[in-house]
Amino acid sequence: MSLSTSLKDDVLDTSVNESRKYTMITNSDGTVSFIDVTTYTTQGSTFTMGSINIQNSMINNADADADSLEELMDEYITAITDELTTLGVTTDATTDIDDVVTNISTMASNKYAAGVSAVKVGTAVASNVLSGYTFTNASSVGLTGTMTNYSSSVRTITCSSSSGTVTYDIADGYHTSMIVNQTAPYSGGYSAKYSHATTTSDTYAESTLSLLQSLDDAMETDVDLDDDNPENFHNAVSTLKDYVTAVEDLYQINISI
Amino acid sequence: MALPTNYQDDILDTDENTRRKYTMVANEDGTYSFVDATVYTQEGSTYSASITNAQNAAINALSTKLSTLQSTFQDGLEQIADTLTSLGVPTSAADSSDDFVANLETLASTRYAAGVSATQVGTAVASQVLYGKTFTNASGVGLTGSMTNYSSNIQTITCNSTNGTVTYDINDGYHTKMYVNQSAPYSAGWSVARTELYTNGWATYNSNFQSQLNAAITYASNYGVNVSSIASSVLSAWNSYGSSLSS
Repeated sequence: MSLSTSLKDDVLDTSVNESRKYTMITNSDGTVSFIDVTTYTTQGSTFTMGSINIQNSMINNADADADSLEELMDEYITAITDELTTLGVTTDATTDIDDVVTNISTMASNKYAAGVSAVKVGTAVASNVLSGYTFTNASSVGLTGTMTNYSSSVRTITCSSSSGTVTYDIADGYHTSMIVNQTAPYSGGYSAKYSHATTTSDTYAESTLSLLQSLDDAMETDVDLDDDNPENFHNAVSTLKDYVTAVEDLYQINISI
Repeated sequence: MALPTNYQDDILDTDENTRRKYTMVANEDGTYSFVDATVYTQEGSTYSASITNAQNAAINALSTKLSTLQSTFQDGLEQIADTLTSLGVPTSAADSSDDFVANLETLASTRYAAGVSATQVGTAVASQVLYGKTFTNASGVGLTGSMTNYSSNIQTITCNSTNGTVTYDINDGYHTKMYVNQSAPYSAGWSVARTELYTNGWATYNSNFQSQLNAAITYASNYGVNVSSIASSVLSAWNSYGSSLSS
């Protein structure tokens, strides 16, 4: 409802009367009443107590509406801004609506980032993780491991020929077993024994042969060979020499396998 | 628009008159007009239709302003509701303030969960990650790897005596080097050579060597020559030879 704003005042027809004119009637009780007989060019609007009542009603309604609206706005604004503040984005009742909307988006982004941050945890890098498996660390998500898995692709160490413990570089990675080619140390030990026979044992062979020669010579010195040739003795010594050289032949001929 | 608030009432000059006074003028047509002859200490404002019109206009404007404010408020709620809806939480401007609060909390929790879900990615388990290194997979956060790192704790394979290729189990883990103890195959090779040279060589001649040597001593003795001493040296040298070959 809208109140009238076109109310009019009385406008006297000054060509007829300059002032309001009344007919005076003497009442029976001695009082007088006046009847307006003024001539108007504009008849003024009637403004009654009813008009004031309508005005007041409008004012009262507007006041009540204002109170309700104020209460409603306060309820929503407080609830929303307090919640945003609780959720980490400081917002108050004076914040512009566009900023409130921005703050809601900011809150959503912050919460997403917090979710990311809470689980984006880890010090492992790709080389620390078995190939084919994925993981997340502090700086990246869904990385793929690069450590080679040799559990079903067993690597081989080919040994050197030496005895004792030897250090070998192997392919960096995950290993559960190793193939070791032991041919070289086996051969190394075999050859070493032959070499030992040649360089060490053979000195005893030579020493034995030398002493056998001395044994042989002793008979030559003490016996008159012309009268009594000790053939059986020399044959025996010769056989002994043959035994020694037969053993020597084993490693001098068969020096390698 | 501000309405005037300085209107004044008439205040009669009570020294002159205690009530309003009018001069009654008798008009020619038999009617009367009244001319105010009251003496005032304050002449009151003239109340006219224009004042009421201004009042009414102000009340109307106030009512309109209130409606506009209500509309603006509704627009604001719709803006917030649309934002929540666009962010995945369906909300209407007609929802209660409690609903708005609940929906903001839902938005916060769903966005947090979305961040977690997008990030908590991985198929690796602890045994597939190097010991001491931490990682996140689809089911856990900040897990610690358990795969043993043998790069600075090099493991040893102790070979058996086989001549050839042998497979050895080693401790499961990350390896970069291995110690290999090759003594057994080396010794096995040595042992085979020793058998060839000593057992199948020197030892097969030893018995005959000793009997032949004793025969030589006897032959010499038959000729009156004593070679026992030198024969003893020969035997000693021969035994040393055998001993060396048997090592």
